[in-house]
Amino acid sequence: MSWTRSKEITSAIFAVFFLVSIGGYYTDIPLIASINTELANWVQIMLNIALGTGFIALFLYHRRKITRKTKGYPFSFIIFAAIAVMFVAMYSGPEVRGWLYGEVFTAMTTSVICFALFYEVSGAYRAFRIRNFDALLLMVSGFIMIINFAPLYQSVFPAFGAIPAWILGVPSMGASRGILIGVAIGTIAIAIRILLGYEKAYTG
Amino acid sequence: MDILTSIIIALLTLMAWSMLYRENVFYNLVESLIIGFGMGYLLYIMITTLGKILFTPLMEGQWLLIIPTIAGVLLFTAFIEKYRFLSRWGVAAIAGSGLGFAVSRAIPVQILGQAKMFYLDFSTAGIIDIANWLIISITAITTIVYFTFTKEHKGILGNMSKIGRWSMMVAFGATFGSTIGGDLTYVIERCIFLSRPPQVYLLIPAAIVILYDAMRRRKK
Amino acid sequence: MNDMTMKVLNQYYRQIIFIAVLIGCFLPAFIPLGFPISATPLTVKAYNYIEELEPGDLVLVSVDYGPNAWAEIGPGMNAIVQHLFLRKVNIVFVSFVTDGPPMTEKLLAEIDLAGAKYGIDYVILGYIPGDEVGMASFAENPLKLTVDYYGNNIDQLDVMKKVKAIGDFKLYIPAHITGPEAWIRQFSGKIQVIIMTISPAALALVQPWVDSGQLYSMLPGTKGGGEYEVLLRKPGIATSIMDATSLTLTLVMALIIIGNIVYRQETSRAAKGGV
Repeated sequence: MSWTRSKEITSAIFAVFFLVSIGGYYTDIPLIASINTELANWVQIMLNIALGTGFIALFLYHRRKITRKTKGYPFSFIIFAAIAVMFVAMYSGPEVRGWLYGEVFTAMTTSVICFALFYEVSGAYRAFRIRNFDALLLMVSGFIMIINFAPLYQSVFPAFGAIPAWILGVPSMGASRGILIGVAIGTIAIAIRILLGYEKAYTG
Repeated sequence: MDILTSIIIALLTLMAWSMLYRENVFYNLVESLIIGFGMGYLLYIMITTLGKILFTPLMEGQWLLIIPTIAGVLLFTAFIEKYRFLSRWGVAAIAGSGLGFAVSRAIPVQILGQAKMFYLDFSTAGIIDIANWLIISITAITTIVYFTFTKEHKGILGNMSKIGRWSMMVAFGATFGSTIGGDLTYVIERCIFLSRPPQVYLLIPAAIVILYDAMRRRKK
Repeated sequence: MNDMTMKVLNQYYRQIIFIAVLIGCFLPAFIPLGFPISATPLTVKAYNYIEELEPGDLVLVSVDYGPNAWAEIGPGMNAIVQHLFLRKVNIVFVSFVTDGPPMTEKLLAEIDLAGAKYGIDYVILGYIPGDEVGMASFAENPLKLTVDYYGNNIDQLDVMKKVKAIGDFKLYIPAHITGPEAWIRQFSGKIQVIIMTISPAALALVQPWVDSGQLYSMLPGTKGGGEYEVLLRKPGIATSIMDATSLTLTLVMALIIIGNIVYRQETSRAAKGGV
């Protein structure tokens, strides 16, 4: 069964799926279109099954933590209990589901995401220093955009609405356009490299 | 929202925010609940979606779907060192299809759709339109030049790439400012919630607990 | 700035910043400041388009964010979807991320449905797996999923009987926290108008799409939501949040300036050979 390990098989699978989806878009051949639809369906099924890999990884990690009684292992029991509670709640009807997911889980997640701002501001205090022209551009542009989100300044000086709009609509947009085009070219380049076997990330 | 729900959510919020003071068992509890609830939901959505797109069509006679089912199950061999190579088939299929759909549409939508904006009808454009168009075109082209690594950035190429870098600094600064403005909403939303009764009454005991702990640790 | 202040700032800057930001956020929550919010042209453009929709027009909404983005995008989506229900259009809710369906239910629980009935006026199709592959699949055939999120057969739902192809939708409103590339790649040119609700962090990256017309308009998070609520004349959570941002953002700018002053003083003292 050594053929199952061969890189040619995985490269061939990649090539078939890649070329069929390209062909499905650029050609009007009904056979390719129907194969493309079927293969897309297969990928959706595989990706959905792949969601379970996260659960397996979590399970294995916390099972090891419990068996070895590593620091903080009691929280692993809480994680498993929470998994069971949410799983059952999702089948329990809209009210229970809405309460646990929509109210409690959402509020907890929002509370933890709040740390992003605190650490961004403390990071900006330490790192956002004008050492050169690049940093000056970064800071001036950043300040103008911060003002854009504060209604106070726009109500006092209407120009504080027009300046951020110009920054977003002209110099920043030009750079973003360049980045978008560059990313698209880069995506095509990556695909060609994988097809030709230079990139081994997906095919081994 | 009823009073009990408000109190529970307020307690969980304050327990999460206690991390700002220092890592503690309350924060770890909230963190564990978030991980557990998130994973529990993921299991639910995986099973219900598989029911719709796999089990039901299989029962209706679409036996070809056995192939992606096997490939999907083989993805789990990634956890077993000896059989990890089997998971590459599913990964290759997913990557191939995903890249194919992205690349096929990237050319007309992303590249051509954006490149056509380099054209300007000078007969109808005013001075300001032309000035803005010039700045946009220069910043866009110099940004693309910045990312070309086939030649060393010297001379004209070096200057163009420098302008591209400056343009990106403006864009990244705008992104940073917007990010701060956006992330602020999370904190403000929680603060607005906590400022309302009955949960507002929990703020004082929370502050007392933190002050007591700070003084106790200082004495130590 | 004297030595003592510099020493305190350097040693306890994180704690000072955390407390300052918390005070800056709590103060307007207790004492609303009431600064007027004016709608930007893009928000007005989105509002005007929806205002011209006729009752019974088909609109596709994809709720592609999770609870970790709700505070940023949720208020904006609440406002725009509220407008859709007030216009009595037919809405098909779909999600291309796993967390979408419960966030859709949360959204619908927080707004006034204006008498809309499930199945007749709106439907939740649920999660469509596959990320961009799922989007492409849905764009090719929106009737591919034969049951909705609750397991009902879609051919028994009045709204879905009107859908024959993706082009039947007059408007598509995706909501996502990052850039819109995948959505625009798969739906641009297939649905007439796309108005996206995005995180403000993606604001700079979205501009080229708006400029090229591939995105009709966009709502940047809660800011866009606040502006939309002003246009709808229904102030809600977005307006309350925007009201509080001015003080805290001023504080953030002040902290960055103080950081630079401290840096300059440290540099000049180091240059002079001081402590």
